[in-house]
Amino acid sequence: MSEEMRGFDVQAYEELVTENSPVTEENLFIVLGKVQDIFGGVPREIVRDLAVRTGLAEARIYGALTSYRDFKVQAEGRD
Amino acid sequence: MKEICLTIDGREVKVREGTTILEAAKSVAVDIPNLCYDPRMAPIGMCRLCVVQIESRAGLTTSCNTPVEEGMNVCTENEEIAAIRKTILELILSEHRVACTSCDKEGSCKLQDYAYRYQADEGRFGLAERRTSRRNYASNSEAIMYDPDKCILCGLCVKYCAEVEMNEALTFGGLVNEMEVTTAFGIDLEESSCDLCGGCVEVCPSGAMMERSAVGRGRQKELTKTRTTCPYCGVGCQIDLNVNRKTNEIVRVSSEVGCIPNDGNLCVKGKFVMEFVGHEKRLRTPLIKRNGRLEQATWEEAITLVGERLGRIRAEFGADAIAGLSSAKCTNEENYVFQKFMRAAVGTNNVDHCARLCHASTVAGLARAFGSGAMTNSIEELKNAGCIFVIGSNTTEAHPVMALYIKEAAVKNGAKLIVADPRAIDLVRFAGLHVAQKPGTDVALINAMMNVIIEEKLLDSEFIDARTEGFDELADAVKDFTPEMAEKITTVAAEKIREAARMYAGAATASIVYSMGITQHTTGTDNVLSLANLAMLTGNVGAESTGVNPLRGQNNVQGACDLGALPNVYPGYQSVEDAAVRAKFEKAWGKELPAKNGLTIVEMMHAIEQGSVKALYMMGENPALSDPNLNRTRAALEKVDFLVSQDIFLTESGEYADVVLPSVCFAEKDGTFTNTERRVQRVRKAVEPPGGARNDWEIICEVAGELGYTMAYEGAGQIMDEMASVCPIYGGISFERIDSVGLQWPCPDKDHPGTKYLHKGRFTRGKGKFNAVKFKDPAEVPDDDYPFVLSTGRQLYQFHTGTLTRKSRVVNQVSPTGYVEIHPADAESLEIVDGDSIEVVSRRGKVTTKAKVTCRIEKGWLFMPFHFCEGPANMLTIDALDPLAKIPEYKVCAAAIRKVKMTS
Amino acid sequence: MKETKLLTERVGKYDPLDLKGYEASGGLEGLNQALAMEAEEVVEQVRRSGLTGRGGAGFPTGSKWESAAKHGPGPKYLICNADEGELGTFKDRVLLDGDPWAILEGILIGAYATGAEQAYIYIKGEYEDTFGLWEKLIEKARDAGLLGANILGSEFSLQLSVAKGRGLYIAGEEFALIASLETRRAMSRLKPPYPTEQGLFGRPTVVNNVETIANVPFILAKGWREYRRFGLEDDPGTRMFSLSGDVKRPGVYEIETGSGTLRGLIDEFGGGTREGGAIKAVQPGGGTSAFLDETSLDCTLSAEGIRKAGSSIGTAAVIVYEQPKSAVGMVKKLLEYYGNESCGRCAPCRLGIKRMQEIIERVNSGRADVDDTARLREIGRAAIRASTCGMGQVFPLPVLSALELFGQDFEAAVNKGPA
Repeated sequence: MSEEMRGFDVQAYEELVTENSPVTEENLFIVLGKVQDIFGGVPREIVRDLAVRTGLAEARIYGALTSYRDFKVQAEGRD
Repeated sequence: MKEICLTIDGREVKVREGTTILEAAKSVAVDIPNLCYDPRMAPIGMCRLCVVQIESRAGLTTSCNTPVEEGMNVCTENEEIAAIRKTILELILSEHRVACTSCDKEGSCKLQDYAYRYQADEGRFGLAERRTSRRNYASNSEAIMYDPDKCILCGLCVKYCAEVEMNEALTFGGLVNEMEVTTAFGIDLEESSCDLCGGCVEVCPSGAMMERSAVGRGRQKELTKTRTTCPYCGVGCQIDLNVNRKTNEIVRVSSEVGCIPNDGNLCVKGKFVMEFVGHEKRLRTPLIKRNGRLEQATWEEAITLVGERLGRIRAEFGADAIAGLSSAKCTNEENYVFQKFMRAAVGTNNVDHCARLCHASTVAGLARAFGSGAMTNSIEELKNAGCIFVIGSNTTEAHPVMALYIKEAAVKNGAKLIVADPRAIDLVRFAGLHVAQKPGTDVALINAMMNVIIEEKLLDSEFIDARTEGFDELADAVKDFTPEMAEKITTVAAEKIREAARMYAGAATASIVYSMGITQHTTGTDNVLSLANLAMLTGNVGAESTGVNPLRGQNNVQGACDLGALPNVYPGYQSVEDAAVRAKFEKAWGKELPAKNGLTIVEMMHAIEQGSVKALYMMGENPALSDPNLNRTRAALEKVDFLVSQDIFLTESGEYADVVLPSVCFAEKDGTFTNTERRVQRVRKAVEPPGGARNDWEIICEVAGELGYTMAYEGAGQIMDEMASVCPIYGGISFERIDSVGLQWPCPDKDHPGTKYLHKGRFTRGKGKFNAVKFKDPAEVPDDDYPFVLSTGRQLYQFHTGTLTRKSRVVNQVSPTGYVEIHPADAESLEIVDGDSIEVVSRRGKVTTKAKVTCRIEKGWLFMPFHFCEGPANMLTIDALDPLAKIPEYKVCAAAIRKVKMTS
Repeated sequence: MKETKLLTERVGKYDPLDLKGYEASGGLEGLNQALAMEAEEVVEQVRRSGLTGRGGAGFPTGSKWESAAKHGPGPKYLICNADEGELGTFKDRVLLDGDPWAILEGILIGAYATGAEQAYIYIKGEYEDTFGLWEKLIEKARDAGLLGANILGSEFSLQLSVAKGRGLYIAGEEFALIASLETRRAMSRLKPPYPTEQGLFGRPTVVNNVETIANVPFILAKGWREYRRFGLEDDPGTRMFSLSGDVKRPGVYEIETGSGTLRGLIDEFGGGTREGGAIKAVQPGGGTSAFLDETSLDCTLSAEGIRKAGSSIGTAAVIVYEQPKSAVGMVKKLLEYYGNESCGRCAPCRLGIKRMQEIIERVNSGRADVDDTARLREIGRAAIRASTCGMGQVFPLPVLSALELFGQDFEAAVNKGPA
């Protein structure tokens, strides 16, 4: 995890990723759901990280997230 | 393929199986309206305008995605369908800010055309509210402009980016009622994964996306389209220059879907980087150096001076004291005229051009193995290859449109893609296997692959027996070259080498694609020979979607070679040392010709150093930035007695010249370029040249006259005819024949259809020749003082010495400065962070540039793009040459780096 | 009229997390039967049972399975669609909460039959507790050897993941649902290819509604002949009707197909209208089905019966509207719900819903112009005839049927002028 991921509980996120390892296209939607439920939104840093892990484009994930009423994207991580 | 017969609007239509109704209708000039269809992408069916009625089928059917069926009876429009189309258009217009009065798209807008066709009332469902003028992802872009108020959410731009360019920089964002096109998190386009290919702008049907620089500079009806060939890399994309004749400006560049070879696709340079054409810094009058300063002069003064000085040097020191650099940027006609000038008017074979610096080893290697040194197959064939082995080519950056075919093959058509490159280049995203060989160890890698292929009996014995010679020597040479042995040299795991060998040899058709990562080595010819060996070993030459395919870097480097801008051959690769050939040219040109090979570029520079060459005539070349070991090159330019620079700008090299002659650029002249797949394509005049700039060939003819040799042509077409008469591979080519689509040489006579791929049934040289190649180290390897391996190369946004690209706002926004790529671990140990100013030093020079810390590169290796005059990579490169091809080793030298200390 | 509890018999009879309780009431018999058969036989059983989808489209389940099953090696998926979003529909939740093991059993049988090794259950986001229950249930099932490798000692393996819907009605449409699980925008797409050919991640995929799946254990346990003893010849089994709106006793009622009438359902099970007034209209198949007026209520409770009456059975969600409601208000409410629920894909749907909503607002507030009803009809025709999925093709139906049946309500509103 890069250092720029800050402003939210990085450890909690890392645990989530470990629990759902490997994160692939097959479980990404579910993992993102858990991120939403845990953090109350999906920070940009997490989208970026999950994009790298899954090999999917950041824009694709962003576009998907913003289409759902119950996902909130966050441009910056929260304090 | 099966033919299907159906009825469309009462007419019987025959089309190929798999054709969609929409395409079938188009084939009989029935235009079914659509706003989201593009044949290059899978149908998305969002606009719903293309619905048709199929007899005995309930409901309406979208014609964009429905394949024809035997006996189908289609009605493309009836009263109901027309009414539905009108309603849909009115609904679309309800959220499209109708601003035709001030819109650049007016007159070339599909939405407008359909609204007119169906007499759609834009206010039927209320007029679109102007949304906020808030910032969007393209607000800061110099290249692209996006107006969400005009966007009709057809999805074409998003799809183009994902499916053709395969970048996925764009997406739909937001809930349905706030939907818009955006990047991830709305970041600026230039920060996203966008490559600025401009495909999104091209496909936009509604004026929502436009070229920023085109806004307000003329609507389509005020523009004249001229079809010509892109002046950048060797792919030879067909482009349409949209010129406002009133202002003599290129307002935009477009390209037509379906055109060969690029199918309407472009890259950032072809699409957006044309500012150089009418640039204020273009040369407008000749310049003559007086008292150390270049001063304006008349054409007469300049031509006379050039004639006098060349004449005097020839009289005093002989014709071989004069050397000429022709140009891979100039047309075939100009190259032909230039080499004829050097040989017949001046009387020397000292003519060369920058192919020496890029693909000389290809020409030498492939000529030796196959008999002709060019891309064996066609670009389009890559699409259907079973395996593509890309080695030493950063295709997405250096040949972006070529890369589209490779990506399409890998992603859509299931081709196995092997990328062998020291860096994790973008193409790796699509590859089944990435092999990161240490720079300069290609022979070891390929030999080991062949070892595996022979060892595991994956070779094509039938092909080897029937079509080749020298197999036993090759088998002998690679017998002991195991992957384990290669691992020690290349750093690539033995198992990966085996996998690569199996992937390549196991495919039904396998195509090798390479570029300067292979050629720019002291072992360049060996590298090329190795690839030729590999292809022959598996029978992958002389058939569709196979071959050994060098990607040529300049728009006309193929043509410049073909037309004899080389010191050892006349046009058509006919040896100057062959007496019969020479006699033919002496007869054609009416002059006795020199019998021995001339000097190559780097040899010319060395000869100037030694004093044997006294004059250098440069047509469109810039050695002061492009040649290796610049300190030495520049010293030579400084030293030479008489230097002519004939160019469109005053280049770094021009500064050294005694006479500078202003010539016209590609958009201002007629002629032909030959692309990397041997396709001879038209270049057409679209704008008037600035000031007194003149055609290169006209200038050369005048100078020839001064030297007492008459060369006169009425136009480029006449030169082409003369070329065809002396150059058999171009024998059947004329301007008339290539008016709409270019022809691929060899094309020996007027009835010949051109040659899609070479060596079918028989190699040009008869049998293909295996050449046993031994691995050799590069000329300079790292040591304690210079511990890094430095490679140089291209970057997407720039071209060559930056003369053309660095005048572009679009380019300067995304690629303002040079840099050196360095691995994070190396950066850390040197306490360098991304963006730091650092000094890169070699035995030949040093430059200051910025550090770009990236995992793309391996530890211990550095990469620098060479386009930047303020931190020229070629200050560092070595001028060690391949013994046969005389190409310098740009790809490997030893270097050191250190952080620049801030002085407070 | 009587209820026939083919699917709802066990609901509330055992602790939903207690597998033993489920087994004690006859659970897992279908799975055991299925695992003793070849997969093709299982498909055949379902095909011959005549079971059709209960999610709205009513496609034969056996054909769907057959189509997915015939594809050779490589991953396949089964998705249980528990994202019931159709207005007035709440039957699936009854099963998800009340007899979840039967759904799991149905999923297992379906996956076995079609060769899927990964299944998903996609639960409506609002059903928070249901989602929690299923997370626990999956763990229990894993512990009991009902999920994972070699289920009940057989060669058959299955992973099941539970995904939570994220507040989009359209995610219940099968392609949108697939897109959602692929982390794409929940958008429908052109067909063919159908999901059973190229579905999730481009692989053959079966998408079945919860109620559909709930039928499967019975069919396997008792055999298709036994199943066909229930309901109509060409529409066998039962239907779970979600009864809501202006009735005294809203709820879910399971009824053999063809065994009663709409009026019987409303009067006998629903206890008649809430205020005892006359019925103004009924939507028999959820919020996007066409209105029926009082004169059509004697139609049979079957897909065919309701179709003949002029509407569709859809998700069998019967919404009752009592007099003296105005049709304009009824339509307005529906459009308020559906107005934000297009996937955004087809222009006539995406834009049509919004424009319809605006026009109805205008009509309702007395600011409409004479052309507005024509506009509604134009939009309706374009959306119905030119949209790709069940959403665009049906959302105008209530509006158009209201114009047809209750034109005077619209005229009255237009003539009334602004308040």
